[in-house]
Amino acid sequence: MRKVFFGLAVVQLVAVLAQFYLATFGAFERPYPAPGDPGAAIGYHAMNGTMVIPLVSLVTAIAALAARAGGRTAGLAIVPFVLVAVQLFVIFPLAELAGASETATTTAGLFVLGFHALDGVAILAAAVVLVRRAHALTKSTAAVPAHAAA
Amino acid sequence: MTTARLIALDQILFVLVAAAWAATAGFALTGLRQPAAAGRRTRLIAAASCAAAIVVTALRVAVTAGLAGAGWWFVAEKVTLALPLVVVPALVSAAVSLPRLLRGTATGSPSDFPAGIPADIPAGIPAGSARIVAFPLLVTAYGAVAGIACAVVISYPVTAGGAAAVLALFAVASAATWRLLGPARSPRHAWQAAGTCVLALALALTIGGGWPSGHLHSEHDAGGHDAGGRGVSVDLLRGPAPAAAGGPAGARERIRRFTLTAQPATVRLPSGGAAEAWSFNGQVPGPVLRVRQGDLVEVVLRNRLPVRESAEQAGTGQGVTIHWHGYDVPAAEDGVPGVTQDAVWPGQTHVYRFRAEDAGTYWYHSHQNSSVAVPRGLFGLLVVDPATPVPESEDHVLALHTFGSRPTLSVDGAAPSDLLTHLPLPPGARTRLRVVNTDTQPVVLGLSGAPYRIAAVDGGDVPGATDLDGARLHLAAGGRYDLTFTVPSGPVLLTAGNRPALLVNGPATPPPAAGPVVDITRYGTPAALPARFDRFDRETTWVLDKTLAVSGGLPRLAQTVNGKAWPNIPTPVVRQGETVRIRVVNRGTDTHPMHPHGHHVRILSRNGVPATGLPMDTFDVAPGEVWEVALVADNPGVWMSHCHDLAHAAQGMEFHLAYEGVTTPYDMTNGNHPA
Repeated sequence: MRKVFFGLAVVQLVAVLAQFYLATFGAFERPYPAPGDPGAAIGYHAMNGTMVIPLVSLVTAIAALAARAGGRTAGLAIVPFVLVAVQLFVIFPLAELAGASETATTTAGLFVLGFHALDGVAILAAAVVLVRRAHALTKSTAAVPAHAAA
Repeated sequence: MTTARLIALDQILFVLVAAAWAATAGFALTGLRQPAAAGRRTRLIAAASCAAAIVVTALRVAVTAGLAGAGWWFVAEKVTLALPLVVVPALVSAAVSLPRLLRGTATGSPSDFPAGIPADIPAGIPAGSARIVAFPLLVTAYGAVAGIACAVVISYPVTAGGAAAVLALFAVASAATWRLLGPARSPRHAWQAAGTCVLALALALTIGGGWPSGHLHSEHDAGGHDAGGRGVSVDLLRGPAPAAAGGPAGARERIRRFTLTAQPATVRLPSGGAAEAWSFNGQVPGPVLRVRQGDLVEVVLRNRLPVRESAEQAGTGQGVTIHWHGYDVPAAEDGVPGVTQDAVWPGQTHVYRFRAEDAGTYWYHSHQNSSVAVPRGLFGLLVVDPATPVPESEDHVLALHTFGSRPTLSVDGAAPSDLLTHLPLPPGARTRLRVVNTDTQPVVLGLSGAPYRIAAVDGGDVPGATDLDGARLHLAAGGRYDLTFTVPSGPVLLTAGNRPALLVNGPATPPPAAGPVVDITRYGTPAALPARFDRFDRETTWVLDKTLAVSGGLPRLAQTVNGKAWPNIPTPVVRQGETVRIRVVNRGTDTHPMHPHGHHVRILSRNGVPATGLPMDTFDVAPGEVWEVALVADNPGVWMSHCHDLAHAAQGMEFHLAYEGVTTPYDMTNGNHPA
């Protein structure tokens, strides 16, 4: 189970790294797509961010619990899920409250939207630490087989 | 505070509530694992966090109460599901966990350690109360997270499937936690717990996502597609043929024939930018079709767009149709692929025919892959001049369109310009500017330098239009305003967004209009509504939102109507001659220019404030707004109703309005793609 957990943690890290790649993959599309254009290249970033990362985070947290990795590690596994919720339901609404819309931004709105990237960095940090912990757990299984059987 | 702001605040609060309860549970678990003395500080932090969580939860209840004032549609899932799931366990936490965290001295035996916690904990810690102290906190945290899930999965109305999905996840997580907090068990139990969780997750996603059961575009129970061959086919609801228009009056009938050929073209902007476009007759926008009231209009559409290599059958290459935006043509001439015709593929032609009975400003555009085709240039303007001319010496049509990121203006069908366009007009002339927003986003217009009137909205004259001075106008995507003014001796400036777009008589430029934005629903004299609107034969509600729904065959965050995305939105069915009251509620955070085909609607009220009753065909429903509009079912057919932010339509916000007994032989096969 710890190997499964480790595998899922790696999948999560890959999804988060892909998210950074997809952000710039979409950012430089020219001509600019219309706001919300379903064919826009930035759509892959939105899709991965709203669907794949939260789902993988949820499954990884369940796997962490099943692997008896401890509440803290399971909590860390769910952090990307929570931080995605922060992106969707805190940062974007705050930007709207600051006057940003689909077609126009305000200085205050841009100030808020800048935190979109920092929140992404926090997700990346959580994913990296989780992979290291999950890796350490697979090592400890080998070292202390009695523990796993306990 | 406006409803839109309350919606945004609520979104922030439900994440804060979840974060606060999760943090409280985390601190409490940590504190319980530590020795009594060392853990005292952590447990006090947990107690403080618990108090903060109670405060933000109370705030969320207050915001929900505020939203309830705007209508039940905005709070249904919060009142029935999201808030009970967090408030009830929060009360238990406040009564049970909080006092114990503050005292924090319970003790238990090491065998009571929660199973999820490594066994390398020093003895003598107060783990015995783990279930009593931590369980209510964790369950509250799950309830708070379920509140986030509610916002993503459930719209209005609250569906049994969505509620069951959220409740199932909540119950499974709570039950698993109860077991994990108990005495340590063998790893097999952990495996079983994990397996149960994953199964429950899959089940919840399956139910909540509402996977489509049938084939695409199947949900037309009555009056929809191919109802067993019964009823009238939409194909029979054609415009008048010239041959049939014989007889004494028909002999003098004016027939106006146009050919529109869809073909590639390059748009070159004066600023130096260029864009590859799809055009009608090599022009972007397409030719201005100007006809007179009473004319029979016949338009031959030819598709000369490129065919993909090795493509020989229909459904490859770029299909085209022509939809007459705002013109209530007979159903078969409406130009919606898969509903009133098949898309016209490269090499094919199609003829549209309708009588120009209503004077006014309209436009036409392709409805095949419209979210791609319209921004790329497959549109043009249609003007029907009144049979008796109005006393205006100058009359100009203005198309606002964004190419790539560049907003442009085209005057009288000329090439679009992204720089300031100059229009010299004789001082003293009574002038009409027909402004058409062909973009997928609203635009704020300003006219400065002369008092002006909104003479017509969406083609229809405004009764009792009054002079405006410095006021600005919000024009919906797809909407039209006819602005009239007498040309002064000085210059007049039209701004679109923040961009100076048109300068009448220069060279000096007046400062842009900066006045308040006119509430179009209250402009002009209140119209006496027809007596038939005293009571309505049918009422229907469209609740617009962005939630998880199946769109394009996959569950995704879609633009939804009543919680469903195209093609799964149930079809409102009406009978010919009925009056229908439509309530449009925007629960989401995007503006939706709603556009019912084939009919103009009368605006009855906005946010409960009575309107003047103007007829419109595209009206902008902003976040948090509730519009009431009235429709007379006087044009039988199977019609499309959709958001004219065409990207939203492509993401699910489109559905039908069907007449009883009318069927269509077309569907979404053969490459038809109306959004």
